[in-house]
Amino acid sequence: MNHWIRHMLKSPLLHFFAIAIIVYVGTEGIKHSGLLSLIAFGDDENVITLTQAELTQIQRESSKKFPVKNLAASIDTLVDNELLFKEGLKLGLASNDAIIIDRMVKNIKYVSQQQVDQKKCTTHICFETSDSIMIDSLDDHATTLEEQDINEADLKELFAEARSLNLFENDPVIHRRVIQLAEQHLRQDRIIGKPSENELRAYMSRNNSDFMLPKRWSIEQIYFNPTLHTVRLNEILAQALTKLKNTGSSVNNLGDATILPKQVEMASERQLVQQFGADFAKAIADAPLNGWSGPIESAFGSHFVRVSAVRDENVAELNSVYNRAFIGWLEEQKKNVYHDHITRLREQYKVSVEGYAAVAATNFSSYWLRNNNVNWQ
Amino acid sequence: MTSSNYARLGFTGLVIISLVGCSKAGPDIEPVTTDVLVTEEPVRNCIDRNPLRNAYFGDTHVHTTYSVDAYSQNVRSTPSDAYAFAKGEEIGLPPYDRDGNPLRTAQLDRPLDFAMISDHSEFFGDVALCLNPASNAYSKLSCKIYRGQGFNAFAVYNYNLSTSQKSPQRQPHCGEDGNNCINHSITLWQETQLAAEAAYDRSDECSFTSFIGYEWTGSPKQAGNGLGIVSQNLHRNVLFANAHVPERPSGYFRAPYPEDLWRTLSDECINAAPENGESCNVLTIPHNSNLSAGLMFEQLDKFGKPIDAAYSQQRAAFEPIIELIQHKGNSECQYSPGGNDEECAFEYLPWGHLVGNLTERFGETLLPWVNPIDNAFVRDALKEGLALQQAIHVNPFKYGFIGSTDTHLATPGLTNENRYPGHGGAAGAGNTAEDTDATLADNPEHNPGGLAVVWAEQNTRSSIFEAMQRKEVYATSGSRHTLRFFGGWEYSEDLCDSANLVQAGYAGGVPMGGDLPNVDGPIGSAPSFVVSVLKDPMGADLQYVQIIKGWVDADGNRQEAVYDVAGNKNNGASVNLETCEPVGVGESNICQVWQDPEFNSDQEAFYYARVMENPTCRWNQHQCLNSGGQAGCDLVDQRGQPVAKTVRERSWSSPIWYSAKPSLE
Repeated sequence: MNHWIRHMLKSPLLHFFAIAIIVYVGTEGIKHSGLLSLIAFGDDENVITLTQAELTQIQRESSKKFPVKNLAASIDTLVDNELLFKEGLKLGLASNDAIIIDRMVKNIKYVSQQQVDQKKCTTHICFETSDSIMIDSLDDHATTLEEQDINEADLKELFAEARSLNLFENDPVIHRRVIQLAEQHLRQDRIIGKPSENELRAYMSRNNSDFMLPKRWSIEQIYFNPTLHTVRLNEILAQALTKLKNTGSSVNNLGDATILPKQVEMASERQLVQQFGADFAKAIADAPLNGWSGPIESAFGSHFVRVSAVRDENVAELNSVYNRAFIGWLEEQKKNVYHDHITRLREQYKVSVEGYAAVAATNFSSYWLRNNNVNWQ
Repeated sequence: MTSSNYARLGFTGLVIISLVGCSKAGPDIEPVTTDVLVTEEPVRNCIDRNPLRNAYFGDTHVHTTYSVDAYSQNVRSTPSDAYAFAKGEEIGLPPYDRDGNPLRTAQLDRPLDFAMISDHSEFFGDVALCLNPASNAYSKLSCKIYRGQGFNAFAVYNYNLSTSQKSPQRQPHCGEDGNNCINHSITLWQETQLAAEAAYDRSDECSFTSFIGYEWTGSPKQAGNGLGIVSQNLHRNVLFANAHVPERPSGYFRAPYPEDLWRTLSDECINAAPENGESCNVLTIPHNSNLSAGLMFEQLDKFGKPIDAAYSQQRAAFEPIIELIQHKGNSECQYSPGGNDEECAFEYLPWGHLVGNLTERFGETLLPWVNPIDNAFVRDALKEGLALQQAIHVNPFKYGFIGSTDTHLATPGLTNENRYPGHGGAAGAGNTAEDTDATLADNPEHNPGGLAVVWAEQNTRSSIFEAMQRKEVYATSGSRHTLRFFGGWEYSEDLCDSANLVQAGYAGGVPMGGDLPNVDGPIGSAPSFVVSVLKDPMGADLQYVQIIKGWVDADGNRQEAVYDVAGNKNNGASVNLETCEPVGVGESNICQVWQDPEFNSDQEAFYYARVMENPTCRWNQHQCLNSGGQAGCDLVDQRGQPVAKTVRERSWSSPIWYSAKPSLE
């Protein structure tokens, strides 16, 4: 037993996995300790290397029924993802990410186990059969290490091992995560100061239709039900019109009973359509102010209408639509930030495919399609 | 406003922006926070405020890509898209081409006044995890199924909602305690709130009201059927009164019994401390009792004991209204051929539980066929409520009525029979718009759903919420009728000739949803009811109006009667099936004062109005014509019965309850 413990304590694999597990379970510890180990790597050259197989796969997935511009968009997306991946590594975004560290440990552990079984060595460490026992043993004790801190050197060693195993390129979870971190970084990588009122007003101006207040009408209406006057409707309407023209006569007793409102306050066209129908709403739009008009036909019968007030279409005051303007502005800013960044990065990178000339990332999709006999539509 | 207010709103954007602020902001640059957003519901004075109340049309049952069963049908529209649609903008519908362009689109002919996005809250965490390539769950089989398995995803995830109420099971990627999904559920809940805030018009224009909410999706499997899955629908939409909402939703896994839902909502909303003087308030709105195999109105509590006054008071407080009509059928009344009420056949689903339509696909062993049963319907529940009122002095089933769509295409209010795009999904495997047109849009038994209409002073959250609480609401099958229904003791016979019917209606009695106690009336006399309705100005003419009465007789028997009170059901109106053009005319408005000829002042009773339109083409006949005869023609349902080619669209007022004795409520 003592021999086994001594052996275990001396094992470099123990030291390595002790580090890994501390990292694994101590992610919160890293965050709390303020350790921001930016372990950045990647080649200096701004070149993305794609394989013909990747591009052929995309092309194969495109069916004839889809236009070429969509194939170009798919190629652009592939380029953007690889570009984000390289940027993510260069910026060291992986170094403090719990998901990547977790995944690295699992992968290294798996590879180590394979090599223990085969009695092989990795770049840094040689394994012995008994080491597999230690791995299990360490897992059992992992929770006791939760609050421990980690130094930057240990973290770098872990990343070096992962790089030697090509985990960043070959593990799909790590690969996707780096891309996602880079995208998040680009989307966030600008201070968005609290918008001034002028900035919000400018946003409203750019999105004018979202903030227009509709024209509104206040009306008074007198209703005639055609089913009650099947024979004499025209005669009754003519009599009513005469009374309405005589400004001295009362209009209170004119018309038939209805649950349609006699007076409508500041209704929009939408509300008039909803309540009376589209033809009626159109007639109101053409009716003069303060005079009786009619008869106007609605879905229910005939009406005489007096438009008592009109409010013209106008732009809302900022303070009455502040939340909507703010949220809309925020969404616009986020889109702009990302778009600007990705455009700039495309200008900085080239794309290389074996057997083809390296070309600027901005132009790659059109270059590729042109050289592979795919015609633009 | 403090930062806790932001936490209340919980906008995702804030989290992102805060990170930026922490890492990059210099001393003279102020990072953005959304503390500036005002979320209190102030005293409002809307430009169209009407003390006699306006009818506002809405839809409180809407699913988007955040719902598993919408995402699995390739629905990509978000809550923001759905709100934009409700306000009149065009929306893209599946199927999509490779470039992400929708092969179908839809647009309302008239915007809605209000809407609530009600995604299935149970899987908010699953969605957040399974769509995040960086999550550990992303590569798990259950997430791969979610993203890529269409109908299988629907089946696998919905099965969770049918697992035991005592210990409902989540997907494996949620972890043994479910915390992985519970913790991630907050993200989508916050985005739901943000979308609602962006859509809500807080100005005095009051042009549109959004409600924050979700669907609680319990549909437990009936015990004792071996392998057979009978999924008893207990679904409820949870509607919050304002922006003061709990930190996370209470789905089936957190609250597997309705009592658990009400308890958590009591703890986390009703009894929560006010924020900036604004109290949390909430309603739960049941739907599809027709698919509950009787469980929706079972008179046993979660422990199997008969429901008591405390249970009933709690249920009545949380559930003043019920969704009567939606895509998955009409829950008004049990249909019996040759029975008392032939109109119960309207959009009546022939199966009686939530996934009954899949029996043909999976076989009787796994999904036994279940016919709808009597006590799964609202009219029956209303009568049971009267009996319980007598027995325990509280009525737990005192429901006002609304309709909604239950769209899984993020299309609130899209109730037109013409161009109905279906309950969800891509209408089959069409790869082009032409293919899609030629594919039946939905199960033939489904329908385009209904609308919720509220009588409210103005179009604000508080005004509409109060209307729902007092049940001054009505359901339509999609038409936009204007329907008033009052009951009182002092209405004159010629009230319909009055220019002040509405004022008199309120002054002399109660509106729909109200109580009419006998103590207010002259001894021995019957109350009067006045029903006045306007046609949908863009719809078909009206045909006739009925009043439906339910009561419990002296022997304890549940009784009902259907009275034709106005209009003419034999007006000869029909439809030309070759063109879908109406034949014949009806009424543009109908008004009638009516007294119950068999009124018994000692019997508790309820009365509601049902308004019928002239016949029009049903959606399948429209599709038959629109597709040049390729889809929708001469359909039969799962029982081999011919599917109707025409419908009578309709509205149902909320009931007015006559109470012979004082209530404990």
